[in-house]
Amino acid sequence: MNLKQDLTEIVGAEHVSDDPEVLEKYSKDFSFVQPRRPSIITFPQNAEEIQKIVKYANVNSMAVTPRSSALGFYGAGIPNQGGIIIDCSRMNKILEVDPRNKKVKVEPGVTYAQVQEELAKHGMYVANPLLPHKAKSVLTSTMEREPILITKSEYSEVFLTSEVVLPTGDMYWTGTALGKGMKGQNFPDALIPGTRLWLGAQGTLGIMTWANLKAEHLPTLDKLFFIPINKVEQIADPVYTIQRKMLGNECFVLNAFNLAMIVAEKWPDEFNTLRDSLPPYTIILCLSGLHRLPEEMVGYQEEALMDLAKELRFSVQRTVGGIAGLEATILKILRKPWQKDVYWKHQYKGACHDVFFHTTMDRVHEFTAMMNETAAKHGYPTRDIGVYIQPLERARAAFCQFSFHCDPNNAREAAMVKKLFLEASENAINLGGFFTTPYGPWADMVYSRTAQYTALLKIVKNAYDPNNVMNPGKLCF
Amino acid sequence: MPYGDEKHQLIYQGLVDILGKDNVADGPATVRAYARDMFALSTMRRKRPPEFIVLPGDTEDIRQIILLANRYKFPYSVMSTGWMFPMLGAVKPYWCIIDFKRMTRIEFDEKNMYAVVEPYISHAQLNAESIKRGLYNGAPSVGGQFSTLANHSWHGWHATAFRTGFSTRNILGMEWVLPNGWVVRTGSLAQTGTHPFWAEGPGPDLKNLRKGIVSDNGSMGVITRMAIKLYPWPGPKYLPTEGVGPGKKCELPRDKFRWFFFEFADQPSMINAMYEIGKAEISFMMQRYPAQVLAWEYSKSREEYWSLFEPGSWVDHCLNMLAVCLWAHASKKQLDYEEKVLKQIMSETGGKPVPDEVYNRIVPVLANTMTRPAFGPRWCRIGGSMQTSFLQCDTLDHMLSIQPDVWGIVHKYTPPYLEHYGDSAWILPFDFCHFGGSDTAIPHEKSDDVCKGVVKESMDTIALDIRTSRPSFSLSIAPANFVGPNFANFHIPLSRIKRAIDPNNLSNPTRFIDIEMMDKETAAKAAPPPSPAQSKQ
Amino acid sequence: MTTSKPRSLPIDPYWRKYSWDLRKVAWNCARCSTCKWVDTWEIKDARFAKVCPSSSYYLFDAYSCQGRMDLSLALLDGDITYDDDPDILDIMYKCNTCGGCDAACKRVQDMEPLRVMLEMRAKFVQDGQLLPQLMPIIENLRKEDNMVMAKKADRGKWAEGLDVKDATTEKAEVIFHAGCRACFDEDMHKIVRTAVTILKNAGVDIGIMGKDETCCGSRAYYMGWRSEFTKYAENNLQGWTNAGAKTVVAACADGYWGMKRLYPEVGSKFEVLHMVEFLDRLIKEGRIKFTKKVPMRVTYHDPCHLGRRSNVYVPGQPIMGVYEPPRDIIRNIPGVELVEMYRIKEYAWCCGGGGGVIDAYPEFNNFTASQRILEARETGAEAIVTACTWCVRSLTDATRALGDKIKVIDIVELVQQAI
Repeated sequence: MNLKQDLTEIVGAEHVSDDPEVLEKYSKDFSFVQPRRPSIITFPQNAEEIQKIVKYANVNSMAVTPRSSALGFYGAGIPNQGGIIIDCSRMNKILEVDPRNKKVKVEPGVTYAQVQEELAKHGMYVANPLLPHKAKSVLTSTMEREPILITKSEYSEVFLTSEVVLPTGDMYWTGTALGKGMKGQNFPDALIPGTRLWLGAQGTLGIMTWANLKAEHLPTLDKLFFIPINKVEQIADPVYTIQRKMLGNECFVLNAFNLAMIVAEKWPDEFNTLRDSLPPYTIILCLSGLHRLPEEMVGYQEEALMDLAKELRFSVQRTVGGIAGLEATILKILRKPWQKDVYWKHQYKGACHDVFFHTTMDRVHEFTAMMNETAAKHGYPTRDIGVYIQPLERARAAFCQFSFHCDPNNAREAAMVKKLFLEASENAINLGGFFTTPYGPWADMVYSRTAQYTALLKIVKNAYDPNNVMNPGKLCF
Repeated sequence: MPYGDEKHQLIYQGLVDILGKDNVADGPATVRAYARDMFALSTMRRKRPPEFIVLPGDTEDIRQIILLANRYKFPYSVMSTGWMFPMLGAVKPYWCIIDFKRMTRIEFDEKNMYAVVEPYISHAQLNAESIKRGLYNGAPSVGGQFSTLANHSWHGWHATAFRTGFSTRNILGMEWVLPNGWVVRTGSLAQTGTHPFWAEGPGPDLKNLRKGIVSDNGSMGVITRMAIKLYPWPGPKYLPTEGVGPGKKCELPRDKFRWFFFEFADQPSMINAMYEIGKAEISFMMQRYPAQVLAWEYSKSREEYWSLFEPGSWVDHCLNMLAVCLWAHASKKQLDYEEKVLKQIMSETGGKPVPDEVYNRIVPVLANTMTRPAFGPRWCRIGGSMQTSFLQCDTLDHMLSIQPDVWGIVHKYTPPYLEHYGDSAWILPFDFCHFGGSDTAIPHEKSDDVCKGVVKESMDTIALDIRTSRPSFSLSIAPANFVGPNFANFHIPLSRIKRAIDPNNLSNPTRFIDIEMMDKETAAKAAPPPSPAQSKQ
Repeated sequence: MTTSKPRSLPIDPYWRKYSWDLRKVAWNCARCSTCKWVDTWEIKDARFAKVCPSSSYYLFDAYSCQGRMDLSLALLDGDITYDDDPDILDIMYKCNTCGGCDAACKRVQDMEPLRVMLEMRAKFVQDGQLLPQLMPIIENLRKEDNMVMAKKADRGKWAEGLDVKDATTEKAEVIFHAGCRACFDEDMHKIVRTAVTILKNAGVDIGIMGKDETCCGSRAYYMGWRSEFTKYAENNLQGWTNAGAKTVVAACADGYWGMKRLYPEVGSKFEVLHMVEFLDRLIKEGRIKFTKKVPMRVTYHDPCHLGRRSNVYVPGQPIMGVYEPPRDIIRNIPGVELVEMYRIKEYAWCCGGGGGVIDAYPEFNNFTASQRILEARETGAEAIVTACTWCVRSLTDATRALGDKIKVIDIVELVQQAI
């Protein structure tokens, strides 16, 4: 076996790298996950090449770890057992935009920046998470079930169908993509197993070579409303009632720290001023009109919103903290990735570590209190915690994200935040926060509590990856 | 038939030890009630009742039954209300049917819009409890008297799918006993143990081992509890009915619900209208309600049904009819807005409102029932039986494109299929038209001869779906190992999973994936070719 | 596509036009389970969603209408014989013949499955397959002319001292038929005595058969003893003819059903009314006037044989029964507030007493009645009003067993309080 030579034969010399610097780059990401250098990086350009690499890995018992790019936040792409990295960033074509069926077909290397730009030409977009990194793969984000800003149930489960290179190197297609005779190939539940088995799998059950995703028509009119909230306990009621009436497109909640991070232009002065002047929490609600009679569509929603505000006595404003042009600022970035070079979460100290999980809106305050306590215990200033609450599916559930910031070059601070991160994660699990995608250290925390689910997952993994070559060491594998 | 032999007695005693005498039956008169239904396949197999029926009270009972099954090697299947029985009936000796009649618990989390049900909670029960709480759980066309858990896990075709999506999307955390006795909890229930509010994870969503367009038919174990998503309901706490059945009427308040029915000259125009409605994101229910279904559900008697075939029948207006219902979640102004947009779309796509006479017939009798379906089983009143084999889900354009194939098969088999009302398939969009489905249900007489013909039609449809490479309903009810070679061998990893969790192949064997058949094929391939002498023999 | 005339019609004309065919009903049971549930539209509470007491209590599907169709078919086709399973009789008789399943099946499938069950019971009797628990009842019927194991000699006791015509000796336009339960159950005496008094006071030319009244035969009919039914039907018809009566008023629902729906087959031309129908008529004619306020919140229990079982099935027509007259009476009484239970009219839950269940399976009878009491309790009513002495018996016993405070009263008693 000559690893480099063998892989070169598959993808070409210019698409294989064992340069130590490159290997170093792929050994880590923004997370606390223990770095581990891969043996080699490959940059295939199609499914066939991926198949060959995976088959090669099976023959030679090499680990393969798929990546959509070098970018990583949660450790999913760090090769826990070394081996071959399959970086799909060259596979960055938008294969199809289908406005009629509201779908877009993308390769794994397609970024949010790319897809939103292309779809905008068709008056469309992919419902996105909060300000994703511009280099983030849209396929990976949707495959990993990142929560979207839009609370409509009909938009949820963005990922539809896909082509997969299974860990054995065999090809598979999920949902109706399995049938060449299906015109749309976009229904996720055809023959068993359906598409969802591959979601949240962190590349352990296969490598997606393309995916059909839901795409939505861009509103033609947006009107943003801000609901200032003083105490975290007061968030749930307005969110529940607004969502129960099915009002709005995007709806999310940020604390003053996170909102200031997003809107501040001048660092650090403006950020500090804003953080102090903004309400502790703000519910941000976007009422949107589509292409038909948009004013009327926004109009009836606005009227219903105002009626609710009167009834439940919450304040509905056009801005908060006295910020001029806040609506325009937010609308500019709402359906796009973060544009600036420094990612928004890294502006404050250079690094940010998120503890995120699912719960229900009525329990958000319990988690917030716990996070504050845990932070205080570790000497981390509670005012430096970024809080993002995302109501999901008309507030049937909530995604909570608590961000802890540190200077990555300050070893002491980073160590403190790491300890805090781990304890906060453990506490969140103990409090009932659900870690739907257990990354890095969360995997042990979660799977140690779900014995039989874990045992069945291992059976599934063994069925699809009998040689355990595909991103081993992740999840419970 | 080994009824009453020593093994039978051992199993019976074991079951009694677990459940008590009152909850185990093996009498020929009792098991007879679990042998057949109205589907052709069941009719053909009606003289093969199971040997045991058991009534577990909870998950632990089921786990114990399964452990016993593994000890004594007897097969079992599950049954809640027993509608889709062709895939659940006994096909082997010592067969035990797990009847869920004692599992009837239901709990709500109103704030977070979900309910947790056990298998013998009917859809109508869930619906009744939901609407009291201002919530709504979808509307399965099959009718309200069926287990909502079974409906969600098996297929789950809901009239509200335009907004509430395909059933899979509405299953949250669930509890499931594997054929080896492990109790697996999925979604947030896996980790929290108590809060099933979230469906997927941790990590891959294992629910998908059991759910595609239809389920695994219980071949991967027994689901004992399921959390089901609910949606906001703007209507009254009780369904407002008037009169006495079968002429009962239901009037939903006009300030909350508005029905519209539009006729189209052809199917493509109607599909275009659907897409536009999806794009505009208006209405809560939207579908092509097939004239055939409408006729059998509307008619209160056989005579009335056949009278609808007379020339000039009002049902003629429903051949290419789009049914739309606007729901006022926000306010009456929402209805006004959506009505305006709807009319705009109709003027562009050629939809004409049906005559008042048709509208007034449909709304109080049928349309409002879509919020809590009641008449699905009326399909059996036409000839005693019905067949759905051509059912696919994908884009709406795909649904349009398959219609010639659908009706080609139906016409080929008419008779034995009975005359149907126009070539109008059910076309149902999901999730604002991100995708949709087409279903064809055709009545036929329930006689042995006819049923033979209908089973042949099913085989033809399976062959067609394989030939045209369309993973569909028909392929989902055929064993995966039969279909798999044409679809990326998807059955191979599945068979590994099945073997690992059901080492004795007892959980509804032969259905979903036929391990025995696979083993036989493997053995046949491995066997040395017959010697010339043997060949001569 | 435009509609063309049907070209592929069912070969069997059964599917084109309603007709009665025992085997076809059994064969064509779709297993849709509609028979087990309240009309889908009418389910208002998950706890009270079932319509079939038998299926609710015994749980196995054999004890549902659907299961009984399977068993009937197997017996008819010879796939199972009486010797194959000792439970066969129990399966068929553990049914209140309340007709909840029947109404549901008519609504959805155009079929009358209860008729199948009743025919099968008759076949059992014909075949000598007799349910042991019912044998003393039938023996007593043959000997003492009643269904409640009482002595013939005591039949007239209920009317002792009552100033009413003896129709065996005097002509009377209206015959009041008290029925076996009322004649021999002392708790019921006041109901029938009050009924007679009210009618008499309203100026009705009423008479009773007193000690010479005999069983109506209805219960024997639904237990399967058809010849006993015919015997008593003919006997009663003769007595009424002799009395010169035009109208017969029944105090219980079973009697009403038999006289109204079965007697015509034996040649009856009498007008048959249940007491509630007669009362309602008299109230509407102004012959009974309410003068007192009865401040009470009540709920009404539809006796099955007065309600849906009294329906003559016409395909496509509503499963009507005597639903409104009792309700109109209650609504007309000053001060009374009528609150409905979750299951009423054609989808009402049974009291449990029908079908021979009160005699053969007292526990099941009590379960059925208890469920009704629990449901009545949900309405917040002080009293459950009904219009059948068998229902009063079952519900009263269940109330006592539950230790519930809700009163069980016959509608006649309620009317009396307001006069």
